[in-house]
Amino acid sequence: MTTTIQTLEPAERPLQIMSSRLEGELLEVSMGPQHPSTHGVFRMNVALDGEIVRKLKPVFGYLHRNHEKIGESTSYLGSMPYTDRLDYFCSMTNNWAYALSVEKLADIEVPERAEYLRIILAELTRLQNHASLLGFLLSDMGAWGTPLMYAFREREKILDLFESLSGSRMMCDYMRFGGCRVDASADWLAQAKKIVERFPKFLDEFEKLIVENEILIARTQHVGKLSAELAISAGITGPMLRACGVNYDIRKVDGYGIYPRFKFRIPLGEHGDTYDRLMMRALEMRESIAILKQAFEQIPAGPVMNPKVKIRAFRPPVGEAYGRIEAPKGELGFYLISDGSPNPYRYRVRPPSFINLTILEDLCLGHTVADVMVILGSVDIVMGEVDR
Amino acid sequence: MVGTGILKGMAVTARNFVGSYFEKERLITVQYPEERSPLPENYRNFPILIYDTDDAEAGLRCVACKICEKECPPQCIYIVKSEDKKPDYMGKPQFYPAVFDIDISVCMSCQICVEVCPFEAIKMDKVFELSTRERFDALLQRKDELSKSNTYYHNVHPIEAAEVDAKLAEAAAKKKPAAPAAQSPAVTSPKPSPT
Amino acid sequence: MSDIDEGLRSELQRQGIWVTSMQELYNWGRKNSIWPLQFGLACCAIEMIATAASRYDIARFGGEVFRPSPRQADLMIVAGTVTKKMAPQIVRLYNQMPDPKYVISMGACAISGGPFKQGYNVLKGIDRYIPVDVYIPGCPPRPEALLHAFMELQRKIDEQKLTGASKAAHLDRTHPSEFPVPAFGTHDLEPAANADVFRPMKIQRTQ
Repeated sequence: MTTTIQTLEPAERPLQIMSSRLEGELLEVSMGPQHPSTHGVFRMNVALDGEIVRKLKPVFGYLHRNHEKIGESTSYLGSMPYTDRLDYFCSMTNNWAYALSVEKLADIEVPERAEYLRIILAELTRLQNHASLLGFLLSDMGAWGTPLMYAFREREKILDLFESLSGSRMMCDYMRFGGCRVDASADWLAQAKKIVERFPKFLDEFEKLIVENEILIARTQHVGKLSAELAISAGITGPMLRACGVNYDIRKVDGYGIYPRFKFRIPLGEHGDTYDRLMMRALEMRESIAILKQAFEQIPAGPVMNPKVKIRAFRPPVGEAYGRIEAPKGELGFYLISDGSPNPYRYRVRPPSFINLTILEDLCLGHTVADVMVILGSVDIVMGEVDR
Repeated sequence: MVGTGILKGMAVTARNFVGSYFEKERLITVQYPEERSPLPENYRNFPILIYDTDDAEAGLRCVACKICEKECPPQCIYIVKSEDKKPDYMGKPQFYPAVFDIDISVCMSCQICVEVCPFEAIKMDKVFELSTRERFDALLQRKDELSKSNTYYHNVHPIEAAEVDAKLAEAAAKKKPAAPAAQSPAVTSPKPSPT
Repeated sequence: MSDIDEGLRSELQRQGIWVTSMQELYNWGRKNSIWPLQFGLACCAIEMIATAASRYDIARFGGEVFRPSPRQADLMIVAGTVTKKMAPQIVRLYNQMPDPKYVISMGACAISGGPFKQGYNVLKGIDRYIPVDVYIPGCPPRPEALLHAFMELQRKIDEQKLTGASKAAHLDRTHPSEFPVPAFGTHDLEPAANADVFRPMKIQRTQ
């Protein structure tokens, strides 16, 4: 038997575990693509020394659906429903990012009411994404059912709003370059306001359920620590970056749409561990509620679609544009090159969860194999976006 | 003390368990199929073709312009244009689709065909109970299966259908100021049902 | 095992005697405890989770026990796009499931490749390799649509015969319960479809 331990990373585990370790070979375990907590069809080849992870190799491509290639052969309008299927939790923010890029490319103005509607829908998306993420993360940790059921109970309310506005629960296909497809009625806004006002009650309850739970604390604190330097150099964005204490939110940095008009704070973490990443979502939901409340008060009347925009046979001028927004998972950007034809010459997506996933090995080394699932859950990936 | 956090969580679970017996907000299970949550006005699933009057062949609004076939992102529409023209419900000779197939096993319910249609001929249906044991024949919808009357459209999307009728009536009035009243679509189409 | 006279049965039921046949009892037990494989591929999997969650509650049909292991599952819900990289794994998972086993093909992508059917990496329907019992069109189908398909599957199980020429596939020894796993070829999966399972229809145009 040969030991290859010497060539590997030094152990980060407490000494008593290391000293009692039996000398042996590394065990390679393939986790996924069919695994209950890989959030889709993600696969990790993990080299284990006992229970400790020594190497981790992510394997992607099990959901590679040629999104970018299809985007280059479809018209600008035709790509809009495909963006719904990128990050299938957050179709509204995907729509917005794509619409923003096309608007930049063709220099289109968006009516005021449409901007407000976009913000309302993006923040509602953030609420339901973060709520279901917390549910999934806890069910990965073994709290099977309860938190996920509570989260989905709230998510269904928001999906009902999406459905009555856009016609579909998940694949909304709601935004268009130059505005939004249909206007929201006063009834819809009142209903949305009611749901948003009740949301903090759910958050209070949910936090009571999880925040002080000793098992959760033991499983998440000091697990999967990410340093701010590594996060910045790896291009991590979104709640994962802010959990390391880096104040970077594209809503503030770019001020796209009409975000500068709203008053909200950016919650920041301190340790960059899984617990911080988890709490970051809970805190962000509270800020989203603050934004939503302001938006409901300020939303003006008016058209929701720029009448000058021709949706069919849309041909933007030659050029290129990169539009990015703060999606619930991080920076979501679309890079488009137009050659003046009805299809983009190049269509590229900058998916937040794919880039956030690149440092998975750094997070997992030295932890036990049971922690890998928790760390992966806290990264918040959606395979539709990772593989595209 | 160790364990208080877990006990607090347990209290939340207990409150939800007990609350689910009388609190309406915690009791959200829809007892499908006996009970159904109402589908919103805007709900969409698969496209249908609308015809006016009672005749599905003659009253079909579609003139086989093939715009939807071209714009459909997943390319699930197949149209063959007719060789001859026949009078539509207004009495104007028009082309008609000899073949109009929609493969609903491919359709992604994106509503782009509805948006691009200049003739208000294709609309979205709300039927979702379409599970079958057969893939090919059952999921390829032919023209006769797709054709639905304007009355049906009024039943599924009352507000939208009323708007469409008003728009068509206005266009007809503009085009033919002396058109006989009996042929205008606003008269032949029924009132939106109160549901 | 033969059919019971309906009039006699209801008469006996009125007297407090409940008569059933072996076949009915067997199918009744099976159709009310279908355990699905906990296995999601893409967008439709989220609707599958929503079906299992509190709003729609698939537990009312006896299907809430999502098993992470194929060895304990009766039903595979293929929920989402099947890529060519994933197809061999799905066939292998199907082969690992014990008989009797059923497949629901949920959503456009699993039926035919759906909106992504143009893609070079997307399998045009899982029924090329494994037999599918119920298809649900929609992108994604509503949770109610999945429940409808679930009831359709229950009806199918209820119709299965224990004996005779048309007996259920899992009782027929000549009927295969495992199917060859496709391999990666130079351009495509090899074979591109299993001819024993996949019998596409030829479209007949009258006009």
